Amino acid sequence: MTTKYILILLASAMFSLTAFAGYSQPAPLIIEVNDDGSGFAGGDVTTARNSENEFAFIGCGIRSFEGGYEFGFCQAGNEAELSYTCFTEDPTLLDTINAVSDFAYMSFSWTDDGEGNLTCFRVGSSTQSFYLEEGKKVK
Amino acid sequence: MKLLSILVLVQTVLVLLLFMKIDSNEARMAPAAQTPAQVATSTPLAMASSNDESMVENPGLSGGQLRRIIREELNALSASHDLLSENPENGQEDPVIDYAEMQYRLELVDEKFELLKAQGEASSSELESLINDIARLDPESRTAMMKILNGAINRGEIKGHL
Repeated sequence: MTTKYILILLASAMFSLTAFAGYSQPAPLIIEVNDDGSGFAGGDVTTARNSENEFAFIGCGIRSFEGGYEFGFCQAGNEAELSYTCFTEDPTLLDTINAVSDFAYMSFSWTDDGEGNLTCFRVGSSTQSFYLEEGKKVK
Repeated sequence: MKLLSILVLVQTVLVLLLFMKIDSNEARMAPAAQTPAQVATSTPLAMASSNDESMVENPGLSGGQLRRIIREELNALSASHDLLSENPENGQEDPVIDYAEMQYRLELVDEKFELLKAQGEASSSELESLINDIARLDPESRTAMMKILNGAINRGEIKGHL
């Protein structure tokens, strides 16, 4: 009798786990910088936020001002006191930044004018279930 | 036909004047570019960290030099141009660009920027405040100041994130 109940309990627990499983494919933060200062950063925000590396982060944002001035930026870092922030006023990139959703994978690329002024020339985002934190419901 | 010829002539003269202005500006900025070694050792843009692969030591104009040039340009424009014009469609006058006001705003931005550089780091709200002030500049000064701020953040002169 006890064995039966234990087996039922185990079966229920396994069922619960499989109900919140599903395909998972976290994308750890990657930052690549070329000799000329240009570079690429990409990763999903959930994995970056939960990283054991306390300096890991990635994200994009946008600022709009009365009168029509608008600029966007993307930034990422994975070391203490070392991060990369690029700016853009390109309308296409601003639209992409505006469309970035929560728990997304995002990536961006930049050029460097040689003085540390980084200009974004590519921004991408992807919203997929497999970037969500494994085994937990989205609240 | 005669009117067209006159318009072409006027346009040619304006283009020539523009090129002359560009030449005079390049001649004025040439001394700063001719002594890269001197600029590299005296400018605050000189790189300190050897671990920072993306930050290349560049002997170009420093932020202070660039801001000084922007201020001089504003003064020159203020003294020689009158931008009050009429809108032919509705007869309303375009707003006058107050160069004294722009000068004041640029100095305010300059002051805040230097303060953050002296601090070495800036909170998100401090950066937002500076950017709000930069957004109130004329487009050319705004673009230049955003570049200066961008560079300062990426070189680690101002540690902070938006």
